[in-house]
Amino acid sequence: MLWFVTKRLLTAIPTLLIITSLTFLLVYFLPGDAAQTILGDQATPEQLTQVRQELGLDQPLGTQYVAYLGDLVRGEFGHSLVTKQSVLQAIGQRSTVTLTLAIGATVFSALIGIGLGMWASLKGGTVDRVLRTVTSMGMAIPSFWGGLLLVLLFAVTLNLLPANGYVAFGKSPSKWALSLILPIIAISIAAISTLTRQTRASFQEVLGKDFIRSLRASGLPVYVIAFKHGLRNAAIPVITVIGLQFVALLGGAVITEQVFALPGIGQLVVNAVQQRDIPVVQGVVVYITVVVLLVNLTLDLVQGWLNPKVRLS
Amino acid sequence: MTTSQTNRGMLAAVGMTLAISFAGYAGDAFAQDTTITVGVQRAPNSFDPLLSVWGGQYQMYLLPVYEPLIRQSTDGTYLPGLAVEWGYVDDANLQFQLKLREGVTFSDGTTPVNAAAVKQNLDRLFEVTGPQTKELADSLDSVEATDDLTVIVKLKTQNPDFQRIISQLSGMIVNPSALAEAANLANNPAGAGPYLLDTANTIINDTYVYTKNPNYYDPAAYSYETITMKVYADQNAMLTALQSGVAQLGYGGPDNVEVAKRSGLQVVQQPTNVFHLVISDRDGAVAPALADERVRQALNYAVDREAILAAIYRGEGTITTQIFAPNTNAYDPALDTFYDYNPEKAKQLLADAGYADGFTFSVANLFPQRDGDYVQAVAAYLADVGVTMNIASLAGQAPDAALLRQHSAFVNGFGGQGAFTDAKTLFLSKGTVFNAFSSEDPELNQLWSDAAAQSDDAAQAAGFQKLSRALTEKAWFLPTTVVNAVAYYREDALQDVKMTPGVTVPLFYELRNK
Amino acid sequence: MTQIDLETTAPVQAKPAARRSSYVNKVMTSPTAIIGLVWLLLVVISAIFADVLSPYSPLQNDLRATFQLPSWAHPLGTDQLGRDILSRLMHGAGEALLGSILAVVVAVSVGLPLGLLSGYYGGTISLLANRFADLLLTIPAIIVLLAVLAVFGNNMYLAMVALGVLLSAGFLRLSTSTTQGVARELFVDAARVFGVRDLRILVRHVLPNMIGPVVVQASMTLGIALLLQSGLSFLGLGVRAPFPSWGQMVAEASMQVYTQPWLMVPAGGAIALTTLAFNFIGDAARDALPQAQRGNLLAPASTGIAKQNANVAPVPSDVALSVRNLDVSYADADGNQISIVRNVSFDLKRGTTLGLVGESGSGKTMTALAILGLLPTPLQISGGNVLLDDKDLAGAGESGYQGIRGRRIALISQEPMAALDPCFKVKTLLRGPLMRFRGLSRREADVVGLKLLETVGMRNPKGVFESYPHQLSGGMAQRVAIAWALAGQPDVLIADEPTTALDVTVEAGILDLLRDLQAEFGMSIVLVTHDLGVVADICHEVAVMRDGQIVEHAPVDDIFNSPRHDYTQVLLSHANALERDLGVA
Repeated sequence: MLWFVTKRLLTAIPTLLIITSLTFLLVYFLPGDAAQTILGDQATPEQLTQVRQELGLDQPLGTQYVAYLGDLVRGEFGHSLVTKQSVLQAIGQRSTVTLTLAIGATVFSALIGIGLGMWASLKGGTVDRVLRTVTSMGMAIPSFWGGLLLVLLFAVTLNLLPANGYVAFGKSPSKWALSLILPIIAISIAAISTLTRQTRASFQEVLGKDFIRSLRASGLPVYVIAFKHGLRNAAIPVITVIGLQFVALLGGAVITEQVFALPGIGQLVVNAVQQRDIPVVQGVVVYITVVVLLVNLTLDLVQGWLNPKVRLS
Repeated sequence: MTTSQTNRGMLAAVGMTLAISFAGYAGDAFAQDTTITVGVQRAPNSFDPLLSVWGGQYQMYLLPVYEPLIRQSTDGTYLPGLAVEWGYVDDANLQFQLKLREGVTFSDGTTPVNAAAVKQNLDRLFEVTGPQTKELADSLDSVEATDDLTVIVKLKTQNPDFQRIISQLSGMIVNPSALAEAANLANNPAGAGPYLLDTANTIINDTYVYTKNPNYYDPAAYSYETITMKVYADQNAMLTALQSGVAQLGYGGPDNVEVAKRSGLQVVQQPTNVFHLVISDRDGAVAPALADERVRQALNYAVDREAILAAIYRGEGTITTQIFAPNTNAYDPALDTFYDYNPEKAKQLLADAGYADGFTFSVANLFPQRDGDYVQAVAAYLADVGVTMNIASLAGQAPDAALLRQHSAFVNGFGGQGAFTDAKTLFLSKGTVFNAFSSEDPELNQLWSDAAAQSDDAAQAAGFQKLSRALTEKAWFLPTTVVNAVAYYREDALQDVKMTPGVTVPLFYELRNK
Repeated sequence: MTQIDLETTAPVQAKPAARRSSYVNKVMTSPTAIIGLVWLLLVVISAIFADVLSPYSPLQNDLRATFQLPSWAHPLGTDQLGRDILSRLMHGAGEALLGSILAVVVAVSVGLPLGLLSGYYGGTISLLANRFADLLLTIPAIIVLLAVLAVFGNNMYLAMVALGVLLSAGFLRLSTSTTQGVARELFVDAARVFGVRDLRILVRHVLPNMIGPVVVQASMTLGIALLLQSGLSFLGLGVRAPFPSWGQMVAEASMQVYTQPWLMVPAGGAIALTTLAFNFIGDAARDALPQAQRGNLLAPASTGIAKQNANVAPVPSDVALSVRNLDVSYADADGNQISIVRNVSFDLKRGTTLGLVGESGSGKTMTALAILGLLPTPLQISGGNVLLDDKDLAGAGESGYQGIRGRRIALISQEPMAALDPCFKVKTLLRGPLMRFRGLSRREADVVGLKLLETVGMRNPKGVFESYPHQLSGGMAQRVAIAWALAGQPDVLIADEPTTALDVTVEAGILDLLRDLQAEFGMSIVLVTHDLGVVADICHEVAVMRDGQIVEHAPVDDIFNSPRHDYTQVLLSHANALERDLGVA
């Protein structure tokens, strides 16, 4: 198991290296002079020099790259060009919201999606056909639009839930939970639909396997076969899909934070993009990549735990 | 954010999805007596008073942490702040004396607020270039600390707006020990105000949390234990925050006045901001057509101001063609209708100037959330007379002269401080945000000097009104609307919120909880 | 964002000659595909001819007619500046479609060739391509798009190209697996032998097989791209006001959501419906693909035959299991019943072995599975009786098998490895019937389980006990399967080709085991096989099946010495010939 974890960690390194290199090169992709592009045409020479220094543009590329990687390893992500705040601090302040949202939505959509997928697969017929059409629609609803409609219904019309804002967990756990319900549902609609379909497909395939017949022949009741054996086998490919959904939900969170005025990474990076605050954009890309890699590692472990072939090979 | 908190948060997220409970949510569950949450449209760009963008909302961020020298009251008079006595000590109104409060320290509890500290702060006006420093620095001669608590400010020229200026950003006194590393002030204010910025709980660009300053000279003056300023770029988000009690006070535009009233929120408003295009390229550097006065006048004739007021601002305001706000002494009601809506005349003027087929110029929009519809409406009217105005959305970018020189005009909403200062801000100072191309006109300079030299209030007002008329004729701007500044608040949380003349928001020290 | 699609499987059987027209026909007859295509056609037409068709200019303000609800003059109403919403939607359609199509074109042009190469050549190319796909799947698209927009200014089309590269991972994976599947097919080998160049093979033989899956993936990806693109313009990125874009229109509507909720409908609806159209077409395209065998746990084993079986002759006491006039059939797409097994009858005498012999497709396995009510969908028992004691299983339904499967009748299947759930240890599998049918505690079950493994001749029962199926050899797995079948102490054992997948030496051992077990426990066995050698070795009686019917049923000696039916004779001569050629069948 230890070797399994180590191997997965090792395979993450090239990914991380490639992403950080691309992030590093972001500045060089800026057309023309990076500092000039950031500051505009009429920037004073002092301002240009300052930005060049902050971005490290006054040194040779190799030196900069090594310095950049060194900084990253030390957890030094630089400072925002606009707010002067440390990028790591800015991300740190905002990551709880985004992670809670993305992880909450992943768990939520996994529970509902797997449940519905199993239902569709076991029931078949009308249930299956209806769910297929409904999930098709679910995948078609833009999360920001769905979010606004949810606000209109549950917050404005029915006044059941807060329309926006975020309450820290430490301040009030119940308000914290209430403040997350609508955003989580909004970004989960598509993920639930996708997971329903994928679970159904995976479950169907598993149910067609020989061992299901053997299990039935051994006298095991249908529900034990479905929930113990079917689910466990079907979950293995579905875990991969959940990993992809997490990536998508993280992206969804970025947009949905705007709708619900949540102080997350999304707001940070959207502001940074508008202001061409490159260090913040770089920092967010690296941070998100690390989070995704960690989540994928966790899911790999879950997959290994579910699938002895992976674990023991 | 600690790891354990994150973990708990995630665990709870799981728990929550398992057991969603709708019960227990009540509309006003968030309101608490000792805290207040204020919804603001924009985040502060810096906690250095001299670098902060000027404007009521920005002042709201700084006032809790920086005590100004004097305070402006809702009836237009001034009240003691760090200074207890103030006024001119000469006949020419060039020497302004301030007597400081005794025994006051900055928030660190040790550094005294004394004449030396005030002098050091005012002297910064000569060194630091900020959005509003030039206006005062130009008229400032020197600052003297005559004794430990007495400061004399010597002016080069008379400045009728001096009191107002030192009640605002330029009068906010920074702890001298923090001035050594002034760059840190951007996110770490150090003043003598009643509150401290709680940097641990503050999320830059989103939430600003203030806690009580234990070293404030009048600890009983404010009842709130904490103040939270929350940025809502979206008007509706702000409104729902107020409706649901997440926030108790919010500053917004006129869009939702009707909805707010219907949902039981209190609304205070006063005409404050003049919405206009600054035709900064009036010398024709980028779009040569704009150098012709007739062209700029044509633009002014092309726009249906009544329609804009009704459609964009829901009728919450008045139309105008002058740049000076109604609360300033340059305001002349006759100039509200100097240009009528006359597309034919506009076309004629364009033809006269040789632009019968129109021309193209670019307008910068720094606040697309707020001004997007406005500028699109204006653009459509200009298109009707053959002028193409391309809109560049510069969301999130700080106003900057260099940035604005790439465009011929920009959208602006400006609340007046006083004609003397406003004239400097808007068109007399050169190389600034408002006068990015450094246009200069001897006639305007002369009119301003003449008016400024008048010691009689009425004569001065008449002088500034002449200036306003000349400016309107030259069409350096395209003013359309005086829009009401609007604040919404919850009756159950705040009592009788009042606005200060010329300020877009009810100022922080006017807030009293219920 | 689905980039791995578990719903689309690589073609089960690759066809050398692509039957494209029939595939297209199949897609086009699906009602959802038609709905989707019609909507898309409308959107495309209004995008191309927006200038001509739209009732107003998309930029034409009318501040005196703002926020109008739908009317004849403005079919979708007007917005906050009095602009006609329909006209703005029509003009915004071009950008929405072009952006999504651009992303998908890039995704296909990057992913497909890489996948072809990686699937065809394998090795290092495949490894690198896979790592590339993994990398792309790790990156949240929206973050990359934001970074691209930050660096290159508000260039939406450039962002869509970047999105295309990210989305190519899905096509890469899909085309890799499809190519691998096709490349293994015989005809490609044949083509290689005849010296056809690699590129030609890829283009002529592999590519046509990929069209279906790629269409599915492409239409789903179009939807994803459209959603992401409108998300970006919702955030105000890549937008050039006042020119309309769908996402920006939702953003504008959201500013008026309290006073003018109607505004939310048209733009959001356009995005959702267009994405839905892509999804519908994708679904229809997927349905038209050849489907892999899929199971259904809850499908009834028989169809409406309970009544006709009310009166049956009693089963003689020396018969363990009696099958009478068994029919198995399924309904095809047109509702016609297609028979697989017809009028099959036999009695299994207690303590004996009956061989069910025939070529593949003769219906012998289906007969065996019908006894247990385990027919694969859509097959069902459509007539006859399966009598155990005096109970008729054929019409009894799922509940009727309670206490029968595993307890009275057990099954050993053909592929021992596939028959064991790969996710559970042997001990877990054994515990099921032991605890259920013998009422043992977990600990007691483990003791008995170990003993069972010894009984089936396992040399290292403890090790096997703790093993996962994939750690066992085929022979060991089959012994585990037998032990598992024995766990419920059944009277009847149905062995479906129990040795076919095993080596000869292992085969003999398993047959010996079955014989020994029969002697020890007195079980009756139905042995399904095509191997007459096995029959000769172990069976007492033989039923020869052909085309779903029993053509000859006799004691084993009679079959071998005096086969009466022509077909039996053919079978016997084939078996002899094979034995001569290969030594074994």
